[in-house]
Amino acid sequence: MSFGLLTAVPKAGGHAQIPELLRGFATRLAVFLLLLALTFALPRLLPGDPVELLHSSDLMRELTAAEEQQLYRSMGLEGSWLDQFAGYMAAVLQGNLGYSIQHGAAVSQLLAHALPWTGLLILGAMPIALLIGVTAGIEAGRCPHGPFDLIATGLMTCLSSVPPFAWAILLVLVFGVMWPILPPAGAQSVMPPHGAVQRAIDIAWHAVLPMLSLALHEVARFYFLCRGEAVGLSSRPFIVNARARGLGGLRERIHYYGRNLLPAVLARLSDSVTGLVGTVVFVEIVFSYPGLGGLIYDAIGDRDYVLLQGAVLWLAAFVLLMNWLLDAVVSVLARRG
Amino acid sequence: MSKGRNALLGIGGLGGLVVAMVVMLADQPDATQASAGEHVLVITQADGDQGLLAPFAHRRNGLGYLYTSYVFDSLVGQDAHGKVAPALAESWQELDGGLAYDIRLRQNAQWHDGVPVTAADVAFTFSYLSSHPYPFATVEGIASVTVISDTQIHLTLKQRDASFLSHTLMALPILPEHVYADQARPERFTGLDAATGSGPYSLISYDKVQGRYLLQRNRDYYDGAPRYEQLALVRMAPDRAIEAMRADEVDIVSDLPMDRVEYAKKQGLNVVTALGNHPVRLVFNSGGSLSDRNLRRGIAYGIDRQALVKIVHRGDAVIAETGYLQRGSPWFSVQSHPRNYAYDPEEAAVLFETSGWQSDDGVWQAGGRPVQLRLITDKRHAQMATVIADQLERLGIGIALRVLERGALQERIASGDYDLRLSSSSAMGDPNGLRDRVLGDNWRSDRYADHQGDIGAVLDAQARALDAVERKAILARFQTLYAEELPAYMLTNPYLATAYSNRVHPYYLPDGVAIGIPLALPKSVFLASPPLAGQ
Amino acid sequence: MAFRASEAGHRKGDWRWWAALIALLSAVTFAGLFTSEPYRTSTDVLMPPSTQHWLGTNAVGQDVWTGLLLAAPNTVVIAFTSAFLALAIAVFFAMASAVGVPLVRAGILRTVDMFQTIPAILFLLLVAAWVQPGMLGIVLIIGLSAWQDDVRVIRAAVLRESTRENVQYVRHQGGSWLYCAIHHLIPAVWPLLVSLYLQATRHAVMKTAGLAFLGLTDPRLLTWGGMMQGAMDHLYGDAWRWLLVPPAVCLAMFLYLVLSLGKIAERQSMARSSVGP
Repeated sequence: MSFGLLTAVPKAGGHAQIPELLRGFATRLAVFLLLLALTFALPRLLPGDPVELLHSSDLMRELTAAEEQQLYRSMGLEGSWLDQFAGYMAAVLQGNLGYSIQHGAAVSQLLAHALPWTGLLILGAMPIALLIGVTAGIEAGRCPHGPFDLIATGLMTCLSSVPPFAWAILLVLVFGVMWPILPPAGAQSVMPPHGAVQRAIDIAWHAVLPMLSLALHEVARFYFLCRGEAVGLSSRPFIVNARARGLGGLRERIHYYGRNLLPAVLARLSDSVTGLVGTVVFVEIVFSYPGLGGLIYDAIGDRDYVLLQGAVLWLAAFVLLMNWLLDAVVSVLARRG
Repeated sequence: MSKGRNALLGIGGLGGLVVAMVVMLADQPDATQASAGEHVLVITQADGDQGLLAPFAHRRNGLGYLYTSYVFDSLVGQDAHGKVAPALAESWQELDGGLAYDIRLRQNAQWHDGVPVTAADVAFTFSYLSSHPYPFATVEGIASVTVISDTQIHLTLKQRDASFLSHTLMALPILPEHVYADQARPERFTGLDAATGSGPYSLISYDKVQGRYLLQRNRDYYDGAPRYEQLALVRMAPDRAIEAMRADEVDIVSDLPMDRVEYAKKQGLNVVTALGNHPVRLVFNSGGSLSDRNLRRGIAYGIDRQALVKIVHRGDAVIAETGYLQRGSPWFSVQSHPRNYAYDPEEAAVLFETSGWQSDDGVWQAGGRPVQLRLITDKRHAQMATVIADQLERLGIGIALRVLERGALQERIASGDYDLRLSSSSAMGDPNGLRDRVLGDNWRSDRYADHQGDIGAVLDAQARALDAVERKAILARFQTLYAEELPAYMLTNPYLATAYSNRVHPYYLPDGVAIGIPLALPKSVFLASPPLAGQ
Repeated sequence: MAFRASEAGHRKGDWRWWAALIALLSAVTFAGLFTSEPYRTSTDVLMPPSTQHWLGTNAVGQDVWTGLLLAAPNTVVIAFTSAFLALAIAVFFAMASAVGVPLVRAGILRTVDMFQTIPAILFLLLVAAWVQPGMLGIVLIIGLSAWQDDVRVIRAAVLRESTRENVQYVRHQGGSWLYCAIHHLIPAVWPLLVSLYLQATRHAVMKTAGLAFLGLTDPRLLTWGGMMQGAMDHLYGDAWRWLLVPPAVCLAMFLYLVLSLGKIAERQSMARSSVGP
């Protein structure tokens, strides 16, 4: 965001790194345990009886009491909360996330199939956002209030004034409906083509719009961050001198601006993952993309407790791990240079 | 220097990772691969994955059941008019006044793995289903099963059951003993071999994430090789599916919204429509705050259903019949409806006054306080609820409308914390289901408190009436009672539509497919010759 | 709002923005509060814009223009109130961690760390599905899920201000921390708070719109985000032109105004901090 200047606190380098990393890990472990408890409790607080809700089609016959009891047991809903929690923890620690009756599949299997798609979108969106955001930010910050700055800043302000899900709709509307050159939904063609290469192209083709809508919002975040920093750099003597010597072009942008912007950008990367995960839920719903976000959204509607718990845990683990790894990379880079 | 390069390397690395992921996803072994071409018939629907097409693994809804029925045959099937027809059972004989059946199986029926279907499989299925309850039908009514030969089986029932053929035997899929015998938890048996059936098509691949199935025709099918080499069942939003059909990529859009019918026709697609017979109903809390039937009738008179059809369905519906069963159902009786509740606010006022409400300056009062009714519904009927609330408020009844998420709705219904609720439910399939739908205590049911026991008695009587004419007469009585007592007021009966290409001809059955599924995709559409009408 | 004269040289521009924002917001909000048009269903469904219905009608024949007006106060009030709640919580924790004993400080900062790593969307989805929040509910859950990012920033500013002579002097004279906070610290970090407040407002608008878009808010609560969700069924065809575009434009304009104001506030707070001791 544009307020990034106020919040970007570059991490200090030095000897405190290893303990710092460990502490970061411990904090994240605590968060994870908290989430574990929360994912257990929250769905159970939701109104409605999951077994009754399973009985959602009036084509089904009424179940007998014994049959209902059996369903409760298989959904891990028998006994007191304490018993259920003990059973849940024991199962999770054994790596068993349970079985989703609604989907007729093991939760870990469902998640294993969905996670790569979400991962693809997030990992694909990050370089797009970084590349566009950082280059435009440097360009604008080189000559503050120049024509490029004015246009780009205006554009980015508009960009960040539209909620991410609205961008997704807009992209569907423009490139999927009005000018149908890109697939507006799904992750693959109805009938995926033969041959791994063609299929890979097909998947990449389908990922373009979702990735783009995911990246758009982050573009503005990195743009404002880099522009702000670059404006500061532009008045620093070493750049003023270099320019006076006639420096310009790519060399100036990469070696003089890029290098000095790196710590600030990297420090924001881990926040960016959290932000992207929040946005990806919307993107997956708009594009009916078969990832974790859509799975979680459906699980809430279906009252699929078992899947919900598993999905939230996986997502949390994914975010926490990414976030910790990025922090680790940042501090290693900071020490090196 | 190093930093700039590091950053570029990092971005490049991320890009490489993305490419690697794409390749990995493209290489998933279970991805459905089919060459779209002449021999694949592509059918779309908007809902997601329906689970593996096996009786215990598919999603517990009509679509999951329907798809599974292409893979698993039952003893009894439906002909192209929806009438009971031979399937795995070649013929049957009713004995003992309907207390026993002799069933003769096909000689040449085979499981998809080549093993012949025998009477032992049928016996196994009945015993397996008694210990592993099947959600769409029950074998509870069967007293004994005797295997007489490889192709002959004798069944006895606990009591006479008018729906034994048309519901129980039609709904129960026959399971292969050699596959299911050692499966203690069939709902967790989700390998492709769990989908070994005896139906016209066999499941050859299933991509859960994309909600995509590929079915291959069973060349050895006892009724002759089915019409299409392969069926592809895929998930796609109708709007996209229309475009895809224009490009010859799709053959059937099974859930075409009515407001797209004109557009689809304009694009040169074929469209078939039919009344869905899943009417939208205003269910009264008849056991609680609205136990006075005159109030229920008054509200019914006060609702302008013609306007509902026009606003909510934009004309693509008819005013529903008030005796539960709808036109098109073989059990529907025209003459059994003394009241059709044509919009009549004056009649409504008279009825309200009979029940002790007073009108004060156009606002109805009960016990000196303005009447305020709680109307609850889910998101699907939010528009209908808004319009009904508008209409009732114009009538002088305050409405507190709550559109609730499913869980909250179920809880409110279970605790009786409402006066009115909107829902839609099936008026199709064998009338045996009516008991659960009207008197049952699950949250989808009317939960009607049948104090006189009239409705219950009539529903019991029809369940024992083996003679169709007699059964229809009893059901006529039910429809009269339902319209008189009004556990729920049937509002509108929307049309359904299916778009199709020239390679196929889908049709709706008057009383729905099998258990009452309102889709134009009965198995017979995909067979070489539709099965002949039964005995 | 006691807005201090800014040292930055953008005062003229500031006032233009303030005036524009206040004029627009109050016009729309008042129009929404006092609109006499009932938002009634009618048989004129999906009518394109005409003289009778300026922005056409939706799928149940409700007038889109009336809907826009009625949704305005809801959207605006939710945004500003939940941002206020979030900021109030953040200020409280920031003050407590700035002046508290080490144990309190560590506790608060670790808690903030924890909340910062959880994607707020998970919390929002779960809770919203549970309560289908109305206006108050949305304000609460958005307020409670948005404070963590501001604590560190405010704490840093408070720490900087608390070393100044005036605060030290008051403390020497026996003034309580509460007195210091109200009379010295908060006024000193005021521009920063304004800028954070506007940022929080923007996020609240987006989150509310997102929840409404997912259909997780009370469907009777009319908001621009919810209207956009209603338009999603009409992307193919013509109706999106009058169902989707108007609420989207309103939402974007509102966000744009808040963002622009935020930039001005930020400039002021930076200018202020740069003339520090």
